[in-house]
Amino acid sequence: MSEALLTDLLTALDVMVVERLPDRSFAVIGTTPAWFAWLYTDAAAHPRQLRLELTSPFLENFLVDADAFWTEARPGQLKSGSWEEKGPSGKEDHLEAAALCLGERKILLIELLGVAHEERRRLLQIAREKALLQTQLIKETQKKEILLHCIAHDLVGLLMGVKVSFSLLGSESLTPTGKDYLTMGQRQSVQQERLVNEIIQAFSAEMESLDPFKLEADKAPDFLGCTRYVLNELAATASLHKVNLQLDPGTDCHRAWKVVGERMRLQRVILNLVENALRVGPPFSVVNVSLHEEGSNLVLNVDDEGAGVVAELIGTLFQKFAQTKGGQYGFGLYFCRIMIERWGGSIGYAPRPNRGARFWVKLPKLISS
Amino acid sequence: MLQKKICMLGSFAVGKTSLVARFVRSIYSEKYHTTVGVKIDKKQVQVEDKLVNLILWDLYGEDEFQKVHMSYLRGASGYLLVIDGTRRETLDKALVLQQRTEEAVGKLPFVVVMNKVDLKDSWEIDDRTIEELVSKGWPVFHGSAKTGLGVEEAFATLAKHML
Repeated sequence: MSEALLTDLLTALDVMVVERLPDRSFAVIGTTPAWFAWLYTDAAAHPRQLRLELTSPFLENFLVDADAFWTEARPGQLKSGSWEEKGPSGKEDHLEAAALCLGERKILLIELLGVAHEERRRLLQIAREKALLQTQLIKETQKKEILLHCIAHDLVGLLMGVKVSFSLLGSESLTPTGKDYLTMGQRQSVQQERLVNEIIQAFSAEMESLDPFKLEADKAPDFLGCTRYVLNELAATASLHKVNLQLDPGTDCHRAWKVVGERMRLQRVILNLVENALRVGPPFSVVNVSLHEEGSNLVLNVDDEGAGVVAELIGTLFQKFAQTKGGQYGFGLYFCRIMIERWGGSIGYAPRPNRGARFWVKLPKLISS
Repeated sequence: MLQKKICMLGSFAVGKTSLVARFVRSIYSEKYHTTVGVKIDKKQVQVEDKLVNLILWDLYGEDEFQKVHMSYLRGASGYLLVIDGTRRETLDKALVLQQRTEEAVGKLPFVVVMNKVDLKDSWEIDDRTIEELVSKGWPVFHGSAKTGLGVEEAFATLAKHML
């Protein structure tokens, strides 16, 4: 390729191409793009002896990696990742550098990122906004569900009091008019009770219709994969709590652990159980997570070495208002149960022989046919 | 004049860019504008009797789409570990980033900013967890890029530790 053609080509590509010189400065190959001269006016004034490390702290940092790349004459390109520069007008531009070897020559490309970068940024923006919204939505749904049922619970509690009072009143000797009033009151309280139940049912039906579960075999979650994801996410938290969080060494990591369910929600269920275990586990204890097969189901156990659940709460642990002393297990267990039962599975608690709690989740195995 | 490089680390949307904007330009925007790549800002601060030029590397938030290159931390004198108090998962990410940072560049001074204290009612991180961070010797600041609360203090403390 003639030098004139190369220069024309580089000019058309609008990429800054420089070569590393023995004195560690750079020489421009072809012409300096206008945007480079605009951003780095001082450096661009010396195209045969550019001191790129002085132009930007980002480039200064990248050149350390680039030098190692050139010295080892690695194949391919070493990309810097993008960075932002502000020109004299204050406008923000995004650049990316790449180091490559052409024979003995050490070449550095600097590109002004345009539409493609903006498109990438836009996609990331949308993806992150959606991720935030989804997380928020799940949390809000849980909160509203709990709030609604707490309100309903309170109302039912008061109504019970009213009904008992009416019942006691009925055993008194009342005038005929008094009896009529009593009957009216009793009728009203029954209607009130029905109304509260209808509200609860309507809300549950709304949740079902908003979020129906359809099994898609190709998207069925891998129990082990979801468990590993959670253990990885919580590894640092476990370390903070000084708890040894582990996947049971006996877990068969080579088989398929596909179950009926939905990956993100299943991760959330496991996260909930493991987070609880970490919260109650004393320092230097072990939280052991294991998986095994049980007929047509796969079972996950989360074992902690905490104080366990007090006997009187065990029966209501997964119900809407259940909460252990100090709120240690929290309302999340109710959410776990709704999800697991929706997928045809079950969830439960069992005290461990010596000390601690076992929470287990049983889900149907995915049958490929 | 002394120059010190500080990196902003944390999950996406925890408020790293907003904290820098508050600290450097005293501005705040409600709109979430995700950072792609690296933004570098500068601010001069007085630390005791020394004038220090802080070079602030605002790194993109780490998530499933982008992993932070540890090479960006080369030459850093310290870092701010930013956590969104309203999102429990950002604490887990911060703990992972802190470990990876230490493995990559060794022990450096850092401070933790529990951001969005203006939304304290919606926080998902309890006091016990924060106390555990403090008991590890981590300087923890409750901050808000929105109101400016704790922002100057966090940077000033870090700058002091770096000298």
